Amino acid sequence: MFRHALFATVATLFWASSAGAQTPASTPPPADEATRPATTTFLGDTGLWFVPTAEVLGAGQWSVSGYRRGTNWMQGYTNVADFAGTFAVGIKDRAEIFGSLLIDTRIDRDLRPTFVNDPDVGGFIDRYPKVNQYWTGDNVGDFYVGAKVNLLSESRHDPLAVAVRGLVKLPTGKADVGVSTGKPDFSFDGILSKEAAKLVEVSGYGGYEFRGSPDGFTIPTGAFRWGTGLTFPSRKFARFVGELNGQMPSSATATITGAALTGVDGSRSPLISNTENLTRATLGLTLQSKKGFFFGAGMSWNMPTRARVSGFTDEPSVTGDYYDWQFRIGYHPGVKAYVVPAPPPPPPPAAEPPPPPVHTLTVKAQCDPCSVEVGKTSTVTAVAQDSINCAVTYRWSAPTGTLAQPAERSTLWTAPGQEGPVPVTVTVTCPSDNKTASDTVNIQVTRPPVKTYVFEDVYFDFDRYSLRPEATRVLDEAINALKDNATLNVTIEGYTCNIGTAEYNLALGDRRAGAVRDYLVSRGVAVGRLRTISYGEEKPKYDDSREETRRLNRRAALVVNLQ
Amino acid sequence: MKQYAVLATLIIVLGSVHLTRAAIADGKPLPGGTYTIRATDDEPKPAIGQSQNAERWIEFVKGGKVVGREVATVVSADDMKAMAKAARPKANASRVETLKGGDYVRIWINKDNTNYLINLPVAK
Repeated sequence: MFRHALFATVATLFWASSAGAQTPASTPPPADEATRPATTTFLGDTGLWFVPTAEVLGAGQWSVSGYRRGTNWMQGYTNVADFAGTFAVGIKDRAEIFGSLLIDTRIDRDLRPTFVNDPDVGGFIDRYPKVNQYWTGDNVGDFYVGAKVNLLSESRHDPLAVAVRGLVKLPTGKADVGVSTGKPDFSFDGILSKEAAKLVEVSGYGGYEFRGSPDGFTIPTGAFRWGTGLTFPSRKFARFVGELNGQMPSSATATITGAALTGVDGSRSPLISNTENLTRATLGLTLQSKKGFFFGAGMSWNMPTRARVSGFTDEPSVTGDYYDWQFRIGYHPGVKAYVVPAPPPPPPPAAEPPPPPVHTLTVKAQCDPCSVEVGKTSTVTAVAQDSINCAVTYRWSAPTGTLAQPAERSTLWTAPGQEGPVPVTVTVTCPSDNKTASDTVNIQVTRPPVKTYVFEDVYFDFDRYSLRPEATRVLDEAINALKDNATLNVTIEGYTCNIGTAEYNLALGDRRAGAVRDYLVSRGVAVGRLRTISYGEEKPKYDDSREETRRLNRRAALVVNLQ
Repeated sequence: MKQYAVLATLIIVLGSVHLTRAAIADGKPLPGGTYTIRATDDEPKPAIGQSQNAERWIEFVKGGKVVGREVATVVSADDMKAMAKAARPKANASRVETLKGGDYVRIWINKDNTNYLINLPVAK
């Protein structure tokens, strides 16, 4: 039985640890989950019912409870009922001092006669060796006091709780009545517990009890104590408790070494009685308010159950005393639960890294000149400003006209043959991030102004066609103009007055025009740019009826022809 | 006392001519008749390319009165050789001839080998 229980305890704890590990630790519990429900054990420390847990009361917190425990023994078909009052107080969140006073212990021995010569059932119980009557009545029992030190706690985010417990039984019970051995006992336990998924709390313990030997008896000097149990659901108002706990005395027998033990009916106990590996299963239901007040009821039975021999008992039921009721009532404030610490306040915002340099790229297109004649050139220049000193590339474009070096920062642009504004655009690009900027400059394309060339007429003397120096000075101006403008051609018109025949005058006019032409050619003007025509006396510019004006018709006129 | 400037004008009498027909002198009618022609020292400003002293105002005087005036073309004897194909008047002589089918009357005076040509439209 103990092996099974040990296996069950270890397996359950392992499962609980696994389940607990699956509990998302990052989920902060509600504020009211800073503690979780807990109850006392029969001995007063924090635990399930008879099985302690490794958690303890918080510092300065206390618990109190009252128990009714029933225990059945085969020896003497005995039922021991204990009414205990417990207390506990927490110390520094790490330990608790607890105690349980068996206010009333009463023993009901059903064997008839009181003793029979059967070491299994007819002798005495090593825990209550001096019981020699059917019913002891109400007697103060022993007083248990101890301390439990918590080593690991789930409240501190340990994977499970671990504690050690030391316990002293003070023999306050009446030994002569048999409700106590009259000797103190000492016991030490190790405890493991775990609440899994906030649903099940599992606990197990094991330890050893050193027993004081009552006068006149030799009883086992100690016993291995063990227990395991669980409560479910661990945080609800109503919780089920299931436990197995027991003890294995260090000796299988107890011996009367002093005076014989004689029952009230005169029967004598055998000198040697077998001790019991008492294993008790308990199922209980506990209701606990949020404030910690609880009430529980349960039932225990010994495992394995052994049938009574009907001839030795006056109980009509052969199994009646194998089961017993457990009751408890009390107050326990609960134990601390792990609270996910509030996330640390976010660190003050680090000084923001300096923003990446804002890349600003601008460009300004410039033209020089910004108004050009058709076919003429303008120098367009881009002035880029870049905040990261990018080595920008340039691209010039224009709908019309011709760009000599469109990928250069500055280039010549040749105006088209059409007049009007022409937008010339430059786009600069930063290759590192392809950032671009553009600007457009409008270049006004104009027709060259129509230059009006007006040359003074040159005049001749009557019936003469030779050029005088004053006339050549006028013609020199024409020569300069012809040299300045290669597109300039000139028609030289020869005129006369109307004195003389028309034929003569026509010839005279031709000679006058020829004289002018010859002079221009002599000064470097290409003859191909000159044309002569004689109008003679025709188309007189002045009045021929008077000599004062007639004389002004003796002239040659230079008429400009523009290509 | 008011004083007047007195301009001395060099007047050269070129000779006397007889016009058989009325003509127009300087835009004004000049009846036919005999006139003393005298040259003044007033000459129109030559146009660019024209020679100085190539033109001179002359006056038609009749009965001691100037009845008309016109600009005469003044040609030296040397220039006249290169210019005129017709025979020129003798020295200090004059000739009146018609030109262009009678549209003009030319008075040609050779005064000391300087030729004065006076072309007058015939009055219609």
